[in-house]
Amino acid sequence: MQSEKYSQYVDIMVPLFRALQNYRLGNLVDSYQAFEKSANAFIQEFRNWDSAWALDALHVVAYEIRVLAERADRELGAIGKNPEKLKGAGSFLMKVFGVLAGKGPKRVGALYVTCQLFKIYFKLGTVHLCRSVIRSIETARIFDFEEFPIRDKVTYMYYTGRLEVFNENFPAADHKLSYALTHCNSRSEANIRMILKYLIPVKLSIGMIPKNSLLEKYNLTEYSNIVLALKRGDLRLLRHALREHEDRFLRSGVYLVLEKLELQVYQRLVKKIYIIQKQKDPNKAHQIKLEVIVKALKWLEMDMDVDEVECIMSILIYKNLVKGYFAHKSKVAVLSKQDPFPKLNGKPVGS
Amino acid sequence: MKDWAPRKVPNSVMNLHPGAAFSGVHDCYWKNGAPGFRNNHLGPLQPNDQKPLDMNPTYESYQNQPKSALPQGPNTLYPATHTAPPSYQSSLQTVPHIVPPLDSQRVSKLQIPTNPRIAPSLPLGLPKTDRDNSATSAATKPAYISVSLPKPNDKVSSHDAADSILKMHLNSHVDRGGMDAITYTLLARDGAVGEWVEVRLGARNGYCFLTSRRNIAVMCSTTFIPSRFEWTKFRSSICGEVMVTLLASAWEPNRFLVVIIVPGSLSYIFHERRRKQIRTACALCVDGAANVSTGARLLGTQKVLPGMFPKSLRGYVERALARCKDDTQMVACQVALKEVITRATADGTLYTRDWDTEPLFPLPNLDGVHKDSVFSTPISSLPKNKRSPSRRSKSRWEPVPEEKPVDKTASVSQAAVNYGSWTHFNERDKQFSVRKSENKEDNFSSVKFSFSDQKTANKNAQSPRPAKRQCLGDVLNSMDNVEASSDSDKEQNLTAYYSAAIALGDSPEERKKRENRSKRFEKVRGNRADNNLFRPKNVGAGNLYARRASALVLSKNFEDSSSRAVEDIDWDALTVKGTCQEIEKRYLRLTSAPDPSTVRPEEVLEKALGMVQNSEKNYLYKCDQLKSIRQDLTVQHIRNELTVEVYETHARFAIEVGDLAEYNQCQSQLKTLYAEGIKGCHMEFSAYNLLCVILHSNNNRDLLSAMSRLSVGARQDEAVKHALAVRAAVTSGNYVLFFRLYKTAPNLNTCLMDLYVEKMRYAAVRCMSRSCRPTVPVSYIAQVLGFPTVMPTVDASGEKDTDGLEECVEWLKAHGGCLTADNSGEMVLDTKACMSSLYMPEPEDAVAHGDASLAVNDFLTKHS
Repeated sequence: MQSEKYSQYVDIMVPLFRALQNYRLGNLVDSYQAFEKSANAFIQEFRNWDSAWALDALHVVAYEIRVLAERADRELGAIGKNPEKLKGAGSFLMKVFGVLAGKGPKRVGALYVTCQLFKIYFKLGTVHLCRSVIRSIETARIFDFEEFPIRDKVTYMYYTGRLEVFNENFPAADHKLSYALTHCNSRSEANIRMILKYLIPVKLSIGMIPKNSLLEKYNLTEYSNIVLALKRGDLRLLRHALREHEDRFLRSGVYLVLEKLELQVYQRLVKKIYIIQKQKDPNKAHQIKLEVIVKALKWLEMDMDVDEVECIMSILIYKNLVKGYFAHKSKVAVLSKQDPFPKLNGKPVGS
Repeated sequence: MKDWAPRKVPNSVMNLHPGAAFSGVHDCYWKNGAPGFRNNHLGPLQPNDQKPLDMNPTYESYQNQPKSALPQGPNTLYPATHTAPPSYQSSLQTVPHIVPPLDSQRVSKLQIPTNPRIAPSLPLGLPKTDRDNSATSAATKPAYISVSLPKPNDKVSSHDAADSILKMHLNSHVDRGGMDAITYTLLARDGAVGEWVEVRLGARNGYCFLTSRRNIAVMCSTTFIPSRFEWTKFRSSICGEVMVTLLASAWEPNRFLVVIIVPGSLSYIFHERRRKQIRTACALCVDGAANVSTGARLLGTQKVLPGMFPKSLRGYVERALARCKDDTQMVACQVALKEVITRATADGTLYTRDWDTEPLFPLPNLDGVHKDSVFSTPISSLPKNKRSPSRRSKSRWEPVPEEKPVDKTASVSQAAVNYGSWTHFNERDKQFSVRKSENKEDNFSSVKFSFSDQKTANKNAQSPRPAKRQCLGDVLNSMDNVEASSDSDKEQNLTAYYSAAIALGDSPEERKKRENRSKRFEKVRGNRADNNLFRPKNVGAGNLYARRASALVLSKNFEDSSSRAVEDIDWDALTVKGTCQEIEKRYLRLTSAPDPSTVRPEEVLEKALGMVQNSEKNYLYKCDQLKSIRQDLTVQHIRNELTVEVYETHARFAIEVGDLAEYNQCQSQLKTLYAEGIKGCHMEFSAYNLLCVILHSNNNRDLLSAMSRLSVGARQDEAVKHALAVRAAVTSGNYVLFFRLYKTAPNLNTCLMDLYVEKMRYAAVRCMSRSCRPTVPVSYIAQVLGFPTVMPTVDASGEKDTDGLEECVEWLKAHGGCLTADNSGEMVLDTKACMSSLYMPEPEDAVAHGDASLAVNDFLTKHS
């Protein structure tokens, strides 16, 4: 019978209409609930289809459920209730991922859902949940990563790159974010900016400094002072820049990364002293007295005593930012005559 | 459209399919009666339906020859199930029609399993609506809640009444904004008799999909975790449709409401999820006449014990029933059987009696039984024989009777019986219950006098716990020997308790003590009970569950019946109000609802806190006391400055001894308390929190979120500033700064930093040995790395200097440092040699909680 044949669509359509109506009425929570019902029914059907013909529709569902959940949560938060719809959307998408992740033609769509999941998890701050999804994407041998659509690959690399920033695994973060940057559509500047927001601190950490024009082009001027501080060895400027944009850096999660640039700034400062000494007296240039560094820091209004500076010199040597040794008795840092300030060259500090 | 008339039997069988759980059914359908959604079988959701074909013959036979099944053994226990009217099949199309013609006076039963462990101690609220049926089912499955279900063959039309119930209910949850409601339609039928039906409850996305294998049924669970499933067992017992409505409340995902709508009656079960268990908090049902007819009760955790009737008893029952010639006789017979079994259970001979040779009782006279079967009565007239005498012995306040072991076995087996199925008895189960009761006996004394332990029966399943407690008891006992001279009354009380806890022997002296104590408590409790307005007569003394539950029902009775749904009940009203006046109380994790007589009210708790704060005793004692205070606060829902202070005190003590686990518990509680705007030392604890994240969790994301949460004002705070400075020192590895901050730390920041000192020193020495050449004087290391008081300027305290030096030397040696003396005789660290020789030694006295000073043996010596 005709009605029987299409009966399964009732479950999809009716809640969907309800969702639409509620959305129009501004009842976002109700709308979300109905939409989730509809989406669940859709997934049930989708599971039964052998081909992936409805993949685009699924993507729309995955996208909209996330956006709707976010808005519903905002509505819930406004009336003082526990915003949990996004979490619900997360578990729904996890289910969708399960439908797609297996073998077969549907797998192409898995990365899109993964990216939506990333967005949810990053928003909720439950980043640890990403791990299972990543594992399932990266360990699958049957499906090459390159076969996924490019936009999904870029998004995926962006988020996994951010995860690596959190873990301070800079080479990996560099690789992933650079991949995202090179494959990103050059016209979508907002996306490029988002990628650069993380890529720049990563690159700085491995000793590469961006051009000022790049920062200006993508309106990333919050980094310009930091770059300048690195170039000048100006500790005060670095600290100032960090304090100025503290909130922003904390929110985006690069604060700790940027803070670690301090050592490079010290290195630069010592190098400057070294160069000045070399100009004065090339023979004694490789011996830097602690007092000199203390004095230099005092000019920068950094109040540090000899012990502290000694500690910093020790760390610089220990982390291989300065080659040489420190003579404790005479309070003199003796620099190596060959390449006393090794460049990082893409390697993170301390390796 | 297909019609659903009886001649198309297979179509209606489709409804047995789990797919009949219409996920998409929305409440509006109920009102519209929109045709067509009967097609909404969810294909992929039916993994459990393994034998749909089985059902066909059964169904048909029951269609055609409703009587034929009756005399077949246990099947006959559910007589009502075999008489389904043809008419209700047609009602499947739309929900409002599902409610068949209703006659509230003749009902059959829907059985809802309840917790077997707790159920026996409940006054079983079987409605007397129809005594014959309730009696029957009670005999076989005493732990089930009965829900009235009209016998469909009496179709007097009270359709409208039923409709109104449904609508009323629907309105109630439509109105409530935060509720999720899904309605499932199930067709429940009696399958093979005595068979357990597994119902798989999967929560998906906050909803429950309900699938069932074979016959029926209904239930609960919403977890919001898609991959987790709750399993529960159901016994199919009714014929007719069951509507299940799941209401997951949005404000509290772990509580949910199951509404079971049997044609003509409603039944609500309130569920609460805790950990992996489902706690059925309350059930009450509303029969067709919209009267509250059955009792509500609080039920325990839902762990399924298989049924445990001896086979011989089964045979006995079958023999007894086989004599019956017609329905009425059968019913009477079942009543008599029930009494026999209850008696046997009560005197503990259920398993010992030889049922094979047991004489059958004479066929009962039928008149009396059937007469009073009709009208529903409130729970106060519960069948008295439901309560076995063994229950009374569970009141922990009573003197210990000598025949405890027997009693215990009885109560355990009673539990088993209550949940029992005839078919599932097996030897292992029996042994299990017996073993448990022995176990029980072993640990009995230690459990018996625990202050917060009110349901000893519950402890059956927790054999490891009492053992642990006992071990602690031993420790405490020896402590008591020291303490015995204390003149404080409280102390003696505690001492008595402690010694009671370990006294395994039943010395007469001991028993006397216990009796005295019991009497004392009995008095307190008695007073309280008198004050309890809602306390119904039939509810067993000391049974809080029952008291509270019946309070619920009675209050419902007062308020004009079913117009209020369960979800409207103010659960906070059930909050315990403590009456205990003891200031000291040992902590015991609650395994059941708290007993007011063991809970201290706020003013006593305040005293208790003061007592702990001024206590000279060691951390273990304080921790224990504070935990019990926290527990009492929690069960009484007290969240105010006192709560904050308790948690703060506990957190400080925990920091002082480096008990991070305990500290973290307090910190997370404090976080929510502060968030509620309750005043306290917020800044101090945000500093601790920061330090903890920095130094011990080593998680950048946590650190970032902790830092970004700090307000501008918070960053000005001295303690927070210090914590942030420590963070900077740690991330940059600046050991000089770290140890300077260590010396100037405010509050207990030092204590938290203490735990990191070792790591920092080790990293520092490694750094020095790599960067400094050729040597570093030990005095410098000692000064920089915060070894005590090496102040080069203060020459007068030369001794102290060497103290710090020596300690530093010891430390360096312990970590593989190469020390030599230089020309002037000063000890120096040979950095080049050190580079390869440094190592982090294993802590010698590693203990589980990270602080050797907390080891139990140590605890003893310190205490004395």
